[in-house]
Amino acid sequence: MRFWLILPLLLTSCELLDLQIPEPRNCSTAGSTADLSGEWVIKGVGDRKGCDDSIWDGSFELGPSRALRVESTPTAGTMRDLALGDSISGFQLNGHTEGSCVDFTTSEAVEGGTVSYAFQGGAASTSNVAGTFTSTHPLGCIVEGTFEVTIQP
Amino acid sequence: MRKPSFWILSFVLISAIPKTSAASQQSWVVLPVRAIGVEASTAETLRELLASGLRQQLNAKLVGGALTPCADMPCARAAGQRVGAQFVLMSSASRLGKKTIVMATVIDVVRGVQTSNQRMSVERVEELDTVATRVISAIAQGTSADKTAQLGSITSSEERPDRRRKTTHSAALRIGGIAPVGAGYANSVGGGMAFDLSYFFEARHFAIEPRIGIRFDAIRGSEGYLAIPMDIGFYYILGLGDVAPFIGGGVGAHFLWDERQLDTQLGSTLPATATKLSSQTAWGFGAFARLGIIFMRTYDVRLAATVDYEITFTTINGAENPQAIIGGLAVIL
Repeated sequence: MRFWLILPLLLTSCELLDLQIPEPRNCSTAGSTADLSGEWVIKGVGDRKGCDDSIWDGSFELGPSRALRVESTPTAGTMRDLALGDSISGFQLNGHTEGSCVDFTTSEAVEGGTVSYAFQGGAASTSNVAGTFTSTHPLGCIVEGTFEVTIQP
Repeated sequence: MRKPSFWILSFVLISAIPKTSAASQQSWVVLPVRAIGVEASTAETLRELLASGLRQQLNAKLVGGALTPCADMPCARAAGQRVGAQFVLMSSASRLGKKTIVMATVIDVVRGVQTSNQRMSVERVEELDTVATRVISAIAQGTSADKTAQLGSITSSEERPDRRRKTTHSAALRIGGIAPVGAGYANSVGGGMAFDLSYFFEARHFAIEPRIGIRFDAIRGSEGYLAIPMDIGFYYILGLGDVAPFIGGGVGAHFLWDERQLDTQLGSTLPATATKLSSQTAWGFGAFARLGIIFMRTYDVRLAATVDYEITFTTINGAENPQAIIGGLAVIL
C-alpha cells in the first residue's frame, strides 16, 4: 500500500532531477537469433543538448544513411556478430544480435573528431530493427533519439 | 664576539656625525649677481641666498674679496683664481616683462671648465628664495633645476598648466544605412538602418571622434541582426574650406546579435542534419575605415557625408568576422 503512495512521488522526483528512465527494449534474448545480413539503411530522429556551440543544440534527423552492406555471422551460443561487408572509408559499424535484441555502434570521422552512435533495438523481422540510440559527440553534446533500420536481404 | 645591536648602534651614531671636516670642504666664491632690470638689493639678496644654499647643501667653504659681476667664463675664472677658490658661482637676474629670469653657472677654476648651468624664471620676486634653493639643489645633484621640483618648492609659473592649441568640439548625430557583406549579419539577410551618436573633436587637419552606434535590419521575417559599435575614430582632414574631404578609421568594441536559419550536417555516411532558427550574441574587437566629406566646415554647424567599412573580429552563428558597409549623413552641432 505504501509503495503505491510513494511511487508517484518517486516518479515526480526523477522528472525534477531530469533523470532518464530507460524504456524497456522491445526484444528478447530467448529464442532463435535472426540473420540480419543485407543492405542496411539507418534513419531516425534525435535531440542534442549542452553542445559546446549552441548552434548544434536542438532536434535533428539521423540519416537516411547510405546503403550499408552488413554481414551477420554466428558466434558462440545463440549470438551473431554484425560487421560491414564492404569497408567504407572513415566509417565503421560493429555489433551483435541475440534473439531479437540488436546492439550495434557506428563511428564516423568528422571535422574535429569522431562521432559515434550506440544503437539498442529489437528486430521485428529480418527486414526491420527499431530502438533507441545515444551518442558521444566531438561537439560536447548529449544526444539521444530513436531509430529504425530497413534491411534489404 | 659583540652583539649585532652594538654594530647597528655604532653605525647609527657614526652616520649621525655631521660631515663638516675641513679636509672635505671645497672652496667656493659666489660672484655678485649681474642685475639686468632688477633692483640691486634684489640681486644682492639672491647672491646671499645662493651662498647660503651652497653652505647648507654642499658644505662649501665660501671665500670672498673685492668682486664684480662677471658675464663670461674667463672673467669668472680670473676672479676665482684671485681669491683662491676652487669653484665660482656666476649668476644673473634679468627682467623680461613680468618675469625675472635667473641664470647660474658653475666654473671649475682649476680645470677652467663649466660644470653646471641652470636657468629658472619666476613671476614674483618673493620666489627667488625658492629659485636659489632649486638652483643649488640642481648643482649638487648634477641635474637641471626643473627636475628638482618638490612639494613646497613649485614656482607660480610651474604651477600654471602649459598653453595648448585649441580644438573645437561638438556633438554629432549620424543617420544612415547598413549593407552587410558576406555571411555575417544573419547571412546578409538584407540592408538596415544605422545611427551613431558621437563627440567630434576637430582641429585644423585632424579630428577625433568617440562614438556609440546601433545598426539593425529593416527586413521583415524571422532572421535579423543588431550591432552596437563603441569606437574611437581618428581622421585626417584634407582641407580648410567649406568642402573638406577626410579619411581615417577607428577601433573599439562591438556587440552583435544575430538570428538566422541554420542548416547543419554532421557526417556523410550516416548524416545528422538539422534546420533551426539560431540566435546568438557576441562581443568582438571592431575596426572601421572611413571616407568622408565635411560640408560647411567654416560654420559652427557642419554636415559630414561618410562611407564606412566595418568589421568585427568574432564568430557568430558560425559566421566569421561580420563585415558591412555603412553610409551616412552626420550633423555636427
